[in-house]
Amino acid sequence: MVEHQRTTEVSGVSTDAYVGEEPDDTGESILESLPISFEMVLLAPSIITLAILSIIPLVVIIWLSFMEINFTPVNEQIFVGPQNYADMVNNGNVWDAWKATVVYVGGSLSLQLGLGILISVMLHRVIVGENVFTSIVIMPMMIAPVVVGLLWQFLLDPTFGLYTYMMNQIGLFINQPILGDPNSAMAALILMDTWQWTPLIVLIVLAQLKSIPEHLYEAARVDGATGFTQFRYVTLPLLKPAIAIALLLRSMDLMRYFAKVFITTGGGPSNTTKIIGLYVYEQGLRFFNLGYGSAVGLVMLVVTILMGLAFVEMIMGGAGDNE
Amino acid sequence: MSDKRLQRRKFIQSTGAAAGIAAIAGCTGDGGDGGSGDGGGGDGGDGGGSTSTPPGEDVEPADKIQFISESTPPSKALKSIISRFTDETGIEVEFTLTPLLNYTEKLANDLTSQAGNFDAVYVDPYNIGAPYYPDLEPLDAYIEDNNYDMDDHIQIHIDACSVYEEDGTVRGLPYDCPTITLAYRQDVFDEYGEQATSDLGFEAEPNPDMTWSQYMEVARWINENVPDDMVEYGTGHMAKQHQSLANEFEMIQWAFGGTQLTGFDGKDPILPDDISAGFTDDASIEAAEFYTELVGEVAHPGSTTWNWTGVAQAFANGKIAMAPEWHEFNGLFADTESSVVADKVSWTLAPSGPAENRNVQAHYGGSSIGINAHTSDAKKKAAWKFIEWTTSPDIQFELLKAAGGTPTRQSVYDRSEVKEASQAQTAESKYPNVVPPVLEAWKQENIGQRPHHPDWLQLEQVIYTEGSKMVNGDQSPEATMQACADGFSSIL
Repeated sequence: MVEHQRTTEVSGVSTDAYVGEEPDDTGESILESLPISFEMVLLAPSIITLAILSIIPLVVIIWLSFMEINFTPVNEQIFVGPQNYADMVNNGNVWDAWKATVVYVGGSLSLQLGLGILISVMLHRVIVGENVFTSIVIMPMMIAPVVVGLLWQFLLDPTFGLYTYMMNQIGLFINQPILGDPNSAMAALILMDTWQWTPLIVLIVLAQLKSIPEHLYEAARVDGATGFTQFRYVTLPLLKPAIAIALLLRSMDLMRYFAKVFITTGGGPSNTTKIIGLYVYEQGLRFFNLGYGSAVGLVMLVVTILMGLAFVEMIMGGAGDNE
Repeated sequence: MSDKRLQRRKFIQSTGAAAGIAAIAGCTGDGGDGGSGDGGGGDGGDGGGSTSTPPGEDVEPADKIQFISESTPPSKALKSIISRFTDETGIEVEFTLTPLLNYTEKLANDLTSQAGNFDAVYVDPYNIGAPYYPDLEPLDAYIEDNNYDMDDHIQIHIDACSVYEEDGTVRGLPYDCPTITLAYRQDVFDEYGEQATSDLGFEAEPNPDMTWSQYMEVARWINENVPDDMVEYGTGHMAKQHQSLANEFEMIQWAFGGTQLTGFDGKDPILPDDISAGFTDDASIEAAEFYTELVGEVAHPGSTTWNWTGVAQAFANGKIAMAPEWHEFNGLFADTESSVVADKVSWTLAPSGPAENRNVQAHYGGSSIGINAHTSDAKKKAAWKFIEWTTSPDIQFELLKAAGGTPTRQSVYDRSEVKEASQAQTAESKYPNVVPPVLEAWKQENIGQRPHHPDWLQLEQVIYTEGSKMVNGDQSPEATMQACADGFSSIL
């Protein structure tokens, strides 16, 4: 295409502009000849990648959830309709797993959120050595969950565990292994996860804290607000987006990851720590009940999505909907 | 190759089912390692069926193969000496050693997808052999062509680990055999044995004639009479919600005359066609009541958090005086850096039960190694050389010397130095793995073994899940046996 400079005069002001030749209205460009819009062309690589990574497996899992797949002693695939879902509803172990999940996710989220906000507010007030303290706080997050599980298993061992010894010294858990009692085993798992992942909430909240303008606090102080009042009416409302993100990330992770449960209790004692992620893993990948495992996995996916949406809606309260 | 197998391969490849579950449902689980999803690697191989022709003379063995195994002492020892095999044959062997469940998942994925990523495979008879034997290369022709001395292997290993079909097709060569017997602290009985014998009215030191009820009495006596600075508890058990609980309880259930499956007595692993769930017989309920009392009231309270490794550590740390345990932990007990009881350990058969129709005083835990039916001919040929070398008498002896394996060949036990080592105490023995009475344990009149059922992994989970509720006091023994029967029925 040949380009040339034209000088135009608009309202007595001359401007130099590069303009192309007049478009040829009679012919079609390659893009225009495609059966999809230009925007779709730009989006296509992302959509294809997403399809390969997520959508196709999702469709396959939906299909699998209506099948009974057997590998042993002979391989067969039988369409069973909604039977896997019916089995799931009638299976007490699934409900037990959901109960354990509610306790595990609820307990962990509450503790991690409370501690995370508290620690981040404290870190925000540190003037000297904030980076050093922040680095120390986030260290547990750098450790692989499997290693955390092994580490805590040693610490809680009933014969040589340091934490067991410390508890025994104050008269607790004598002749009662911490990981051997349904209540204390679940509490220990919640503490393990809290120890490891509170730092993530600290990081997210701390970043948001740093973005709150100082003049808001100055105005609040002028109005006579106390430290707590400032936190309640200035800090907390402005932290909502960060809290929503933190809750979203942690709730999804808590539903999915079961490494610490797998390593320390294996779902026991009495199945009380078998969370739904571990249950799906067992059915799908240990016992190769692919149909049933897919059905439970799909329900878990739906619950996770609904939970995430609920968190965002509850905390953000529809903020941003009109923007 | 049958049409069915083609369909299966196509099915697996097209769906990526296992990977899909992991990816979408998010069950990647760092601990579990998820599906392998590695793909590729395999380039053919017939597999399936009960006959197979070994690769011909014109096939050159591959220069590199993959071996997957549970991370067991013999496999670790084997890895340490594998350079000898490479020097002899020019074949490199890459090892994948992982814990039992991870090994099971990786290999099951590989076999069901027929990907052929692993060429030589460790075959756990219950997790892999029973469900996936059609994916293991039949070895009879290899054995015949290479004059492999199969008869030297003690018969129980062939029955339990090599054969999964009624026609006797060999799918693996016996490789190793951990066996549950009874470990006990000799020093405790040297010092308090006479007093205990006098108080209890029977020989208190564990011996092959001891019964389970006597065992519990002795354990209780130790709890009450032996100072804690010598030993804290009389007994410890692998009663965590784990396969270990099932293993221990199965042995006791058989000893009491109970059964997990009707028509199965814990002796012959090949099941009859018409099986149904057991557990609800009086003997099983009696065994459950006994086990609940033993673990819940007498044993070290840590028992409900221990699997076999936990029990071994507690025993090595001097916390318990007696424990049913896989005998290969004797290597750990004999190691003075890991054990405070190295010079105080003795072994005997596990106690017997009241059953009149059978005797079970040991639990079989052997394994074999075989060849993936879905790998190439060149790799099959190399894999055969590897498994033949690994199970040869000289290498079994080498693995024994490394405190790794337990030989399955009679000729190894006939060697004078092995005989001498088997009669010594743990601390003095050159080969701790032969100190426990394994030859006695493997006799048909003493051994108990699990059945070759394709769903045994899942069935066993029912036992240890319900069993965990039982030993933790959340469910009565009778209700537990009923729950086990129900669980088995729904799976069968």
